[in-house]
Amino acid sequence: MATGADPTHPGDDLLAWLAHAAHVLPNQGPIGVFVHHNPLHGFQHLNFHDAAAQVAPLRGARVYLDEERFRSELAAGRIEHRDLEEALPATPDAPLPLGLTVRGIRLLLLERGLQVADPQGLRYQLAVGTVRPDPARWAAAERRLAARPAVAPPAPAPRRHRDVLVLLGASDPDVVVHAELQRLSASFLDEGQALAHLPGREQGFLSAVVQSWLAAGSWPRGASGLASDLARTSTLGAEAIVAECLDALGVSPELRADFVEATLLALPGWAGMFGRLERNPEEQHAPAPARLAEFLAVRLLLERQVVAGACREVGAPLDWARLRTAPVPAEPADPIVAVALLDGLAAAAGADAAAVERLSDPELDALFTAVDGFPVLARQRVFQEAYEGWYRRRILAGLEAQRRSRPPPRVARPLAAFVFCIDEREESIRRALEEQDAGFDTYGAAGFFGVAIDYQGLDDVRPAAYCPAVVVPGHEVREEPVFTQRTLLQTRQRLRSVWQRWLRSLSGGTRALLGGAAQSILLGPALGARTAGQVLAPRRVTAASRILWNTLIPAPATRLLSLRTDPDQRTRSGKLEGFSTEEKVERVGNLLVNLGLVRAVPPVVVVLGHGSTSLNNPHESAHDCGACGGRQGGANARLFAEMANRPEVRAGLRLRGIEVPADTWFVGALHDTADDSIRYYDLDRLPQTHTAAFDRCHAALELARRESARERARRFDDAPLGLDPEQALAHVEERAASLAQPRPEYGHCTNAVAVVGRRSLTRGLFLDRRAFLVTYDPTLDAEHRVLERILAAVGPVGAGINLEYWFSSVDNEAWGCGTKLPHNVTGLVGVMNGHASDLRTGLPLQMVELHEPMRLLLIVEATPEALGVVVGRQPEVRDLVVNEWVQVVSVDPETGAMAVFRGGAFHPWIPDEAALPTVARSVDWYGAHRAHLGPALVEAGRG
Amino acid sequence: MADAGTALVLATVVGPLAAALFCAAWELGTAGASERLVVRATTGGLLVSFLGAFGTLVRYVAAPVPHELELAPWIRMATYEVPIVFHLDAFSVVFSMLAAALTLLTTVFSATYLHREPGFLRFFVLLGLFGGGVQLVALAGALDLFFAGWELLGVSSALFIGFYKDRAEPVRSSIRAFATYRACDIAFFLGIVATHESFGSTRLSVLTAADTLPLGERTLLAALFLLPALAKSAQLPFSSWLPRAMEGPTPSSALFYGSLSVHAGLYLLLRIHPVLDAAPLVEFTGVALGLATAGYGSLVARAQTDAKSALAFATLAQTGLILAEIAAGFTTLALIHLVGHALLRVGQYLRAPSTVHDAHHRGHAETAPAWWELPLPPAVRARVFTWSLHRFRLDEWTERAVAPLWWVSRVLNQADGRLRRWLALEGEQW
Repeated sequence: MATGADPTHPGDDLLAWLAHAAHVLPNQGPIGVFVHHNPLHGFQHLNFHDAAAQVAPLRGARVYLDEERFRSELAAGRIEHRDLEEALPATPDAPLPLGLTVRGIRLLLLERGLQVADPQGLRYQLAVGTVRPDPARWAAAERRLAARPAVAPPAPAPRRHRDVLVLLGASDPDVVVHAELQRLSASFLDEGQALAHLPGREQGFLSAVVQSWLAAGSWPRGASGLASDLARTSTLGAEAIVAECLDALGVSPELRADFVEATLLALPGWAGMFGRLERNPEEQHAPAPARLAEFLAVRLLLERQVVAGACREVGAPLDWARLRTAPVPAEPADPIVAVALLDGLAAAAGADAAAVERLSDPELDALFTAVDGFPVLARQRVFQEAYEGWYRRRILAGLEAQRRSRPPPRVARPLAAFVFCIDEREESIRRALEEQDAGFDTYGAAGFFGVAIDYQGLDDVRPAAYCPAVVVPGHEVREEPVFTQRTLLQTRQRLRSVWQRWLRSLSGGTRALLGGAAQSILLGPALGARTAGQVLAPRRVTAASRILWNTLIPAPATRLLSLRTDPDQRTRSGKLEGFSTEEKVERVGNLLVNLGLVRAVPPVVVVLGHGSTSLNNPHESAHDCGACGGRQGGANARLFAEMANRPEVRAGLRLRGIEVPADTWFVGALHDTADDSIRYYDLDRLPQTHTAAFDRCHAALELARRESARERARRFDDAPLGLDPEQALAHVEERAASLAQPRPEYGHCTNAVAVVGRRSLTRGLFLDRRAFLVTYDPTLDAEHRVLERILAAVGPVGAGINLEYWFSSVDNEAWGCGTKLPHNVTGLVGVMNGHASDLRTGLPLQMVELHEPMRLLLIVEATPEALGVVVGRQPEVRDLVVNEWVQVVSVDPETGAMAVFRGGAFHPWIPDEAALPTVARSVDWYGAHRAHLGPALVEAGRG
Repeated sequence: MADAGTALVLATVVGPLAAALFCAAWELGTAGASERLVVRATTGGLLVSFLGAFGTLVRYVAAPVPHELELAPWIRMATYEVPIVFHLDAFSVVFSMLAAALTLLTTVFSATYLHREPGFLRFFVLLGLFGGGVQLVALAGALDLFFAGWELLGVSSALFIGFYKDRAEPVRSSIRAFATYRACDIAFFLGIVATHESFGSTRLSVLTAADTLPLGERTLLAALFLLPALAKSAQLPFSSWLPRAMEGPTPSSALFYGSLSVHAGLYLLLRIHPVLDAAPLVEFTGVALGLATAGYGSLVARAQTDAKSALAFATLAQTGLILAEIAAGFTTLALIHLVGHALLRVGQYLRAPSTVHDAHHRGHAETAPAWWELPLPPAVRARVFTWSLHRFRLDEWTERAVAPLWWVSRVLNQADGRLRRWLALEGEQW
């Protein structure tokens, strides 16, 4: 009996197979905290296109937009012929028959799409006359090809029993297996949605499932043989069961890695969640130790029975070695495909029927070989490069035009500085501030503002990490009521717990027999009226219930507990309590240096984190701040301001050579990107000397958030064009408050560019909310340490967001989670479609529908040499850059000369000399448009 | 007086149907109906319906005397009539009002929710058909007319389940619901024929004479009505289609399986209550099945981990109770329970996507409160849990039960093929 390559240690092999499979399984945690990541993260050591080509067949998914879409972009001018020419790699130019060349054929295949995907459709079009080839030439092509056998594209090799069985006409074993496995997995991992859970889940999935089956004697259809299987295997571990099942299914050792991968990929969502929680147990709130091996064992136990039944049904062998080579009925190739191709080539070459007739067999072979040498993935790749190239030309030309018209640097002390997250959604509000007054400066820093913390707010049950997902915070910060309002906190906690218990009982009660009846009769009409209110007047009802809530359950004034006096003071979770003064100085100093905010620091600096609040949206957290680990970044902004305002910190900064004037005050705030509201922190501490200056900032932000809402509203099809700022604000508030709104905001849907450099590079340039803007001053960074710090954080976060959107938009069913409308939250860990489906990972259609999938165009104000140094020091950045998961452009800090990184080296780039449109204010440029807009110069914002 | 009342009732029924026809015709007749137009027409039609229902309710409250509004005779023969007649009493005006309000609310919700979704027009045409159908059911004064509305309801429900027609699972579930409806509607149809036979009319008003029929006849008649009611309200043994129905967009699930469609069967029993009242055996069966469904639903609801299935089974628990109430003769209580339940659930279904948000707001309760635990020994509890998690495998039992039908249809299909060949028709276009 073969049990794998090493019969004494079946577990070692299994571990290797599981690790292998983990690269292609989704790696998304429970949906309550959504962190964007590159779905192909496990392949970043490969070149982007190679990785895509490798994964596409494994997942059975598209990795680029389809050719139809690219061709329509070509027709719309979004890709130009010169972009295709540039993107098409050089080819040996031996002449081909009909006066064609290899390159010519490739361009034809790209631009005209001579390959027929739907032969029946073509026959129909020929019959009704919507496609009219030259009849003589068509007939000639038909005659010429009559003797050649039509070749069907090779079918993908089967990877598991089900692939063959379905073709043989057996009932699909996955229907039964998946129904059972989905219910069991959800019940096992449930974080509190059901009222009862799989008994014994603390002992692991395998044991809990087996006990549950045995206790109830309840088997899925066609799997009653499990009873005897379990009697034999109930004492075995997952590894031994997997080995035994693979033996029983006749999977020979060399095929096992592939078989296991394919088996897990049959239900990728749940398998991925088991793997994810096994690697990151801290993300799980249910007392259920997840192990991918146990998931596989349960799956194979089931599958072995059901597959055996399906084999009996069609008289096929259970033995995989025999079944995988069993002949299966195949769709015959349609000869019209080759005829249409030859006719199309001839037409493009201007050849007539006689020329087609004259083609010899070797000539035909040469033509078809040239076509076959440019398969679909290669074509999509060229299209993709052209699609990106077009946009890159526009953006770089825009930057160049901005450079030429840049006003001389200002020397006066600015009125105020606003520090936002680098998020591209903040680009519009920054522009709106700058357009109001040349004295307003804006900055962009990763939204955790350099303070990685475990944070516990007043109402939080436990602390959570507020920092990029790759960082583990060493410090913990709590929100505490001010001394005089401590009793108010107790009142609040008591009221809240009563209210929560009451809500839990009510919502649980509606599932019970008598509770449900009592609530129907007593509360039904009132709840119905509330529902009607929420649907008919969402904004008012939400505002009213917020007022009611704040009145009934009052909140005390609070402070952050941020100072640690005893160097070793630790919290209950073992983290350092707050920050010591030196630590504060270091963090504040680092950020100020990163930003270049060390000269002429203005009297008011507003630091704005961001988050997003929306209703009825399982993916709510996906709109929060990625740099805060999928949470709202208000606490980080507040903490940063609190630290920067301390006199002892200022003194420490002075010792490090950073002069922050004594009359500078920092204010922390939170910008909600869904309803464009702004909440300020600790204003009760604002010195009286600063009220006038702050009032001015506040008024500016009030205006700016309305302008930002207006700029956002142009992208929403259901908001009329030409709203005024006040109406636009009301519109976005309604979106955020509405139960019926699947698009409270468009999130990162428009992300395309990241600019790392001084704001002077982009100030006054309309970037359409498409650019991450990272402020970085190369003149303060001789050693490139700051750049290294920035790229190490921004590279992975930006690329993660960008690539998550990429894959979810090129094949939304495979990489994303499809339309939101039938989504159904399960186990509080994710969503499924309707009443039963796999766990759906990735982004919903509504979030990506406007997205243009392009690799992030990372423009850095640093010389190629500096970039080379940084890339050499940071392996993850190196993978992203060298393997072309991002497109890097270097902009020389002194000369402004550009160089594009391609094929392992920087190449000088001469931007197009296009005159950029100039407008007075942003609204003059975007006002009447819905679609993506190119760059323009905005006079008012130039500073 | 009668004319104003008739106009109101007509507006209630015709408004949504006219909107659906208008949208469909516009789509077919022109380059395509814009979202705006579709929403305006459907909301308009349902608003007319809402105002009609409200007017009818107000008039009825002013003069609460049950009466019939006869519009026209449709077919009339010597001892036989099929009239177009509406029946106004407390039950019908309340149910009509409920249906009009919830359908209108769902339409307003869907106008935002379905924005840019492929199938937008289809969704709203179905909403219009459903809105008209449910008003026919609510207000019909004779069983023939009731049946027309009932079928509109059934067809639109099944099409809503299969809204995402490109995926296999919704289509399978849609066929399941449709087949269940149709199978049991045969009984309804026979019941209508039998009513004609016995009373010469199917007016609801003549059913009060049910106790004059011989016991056997009235038992059979009541059973023929009970069967479709069980199917439509997903009572045991037909419950398995309901949880599977959660495939369409969220608002359609809210409207059909949470609030209106699932109560239509119960409403049928309220309408033909005199017949039920005269058949103690059927009443007893109703109480038993209702209580069984209630127990089944509430047990299974505890174990379901997804928002919509948990709601579906919780809904079953309440509809089971309402069925028991009706069969036991507490019709007024049943009506109040039904209305309250519909209003409670519509909000719960619409808010189902908020589950994560709400769990956070309520404070994560990782373990259920102790009083949820069934007072049973652990071993039994584990067994009950497993059965509940797998819904007592009702789905599979249902499939097993209809397996012979598959066999019959396969045999018939083969016989048909042989017949065609024998007639030498093979190769012709069929």
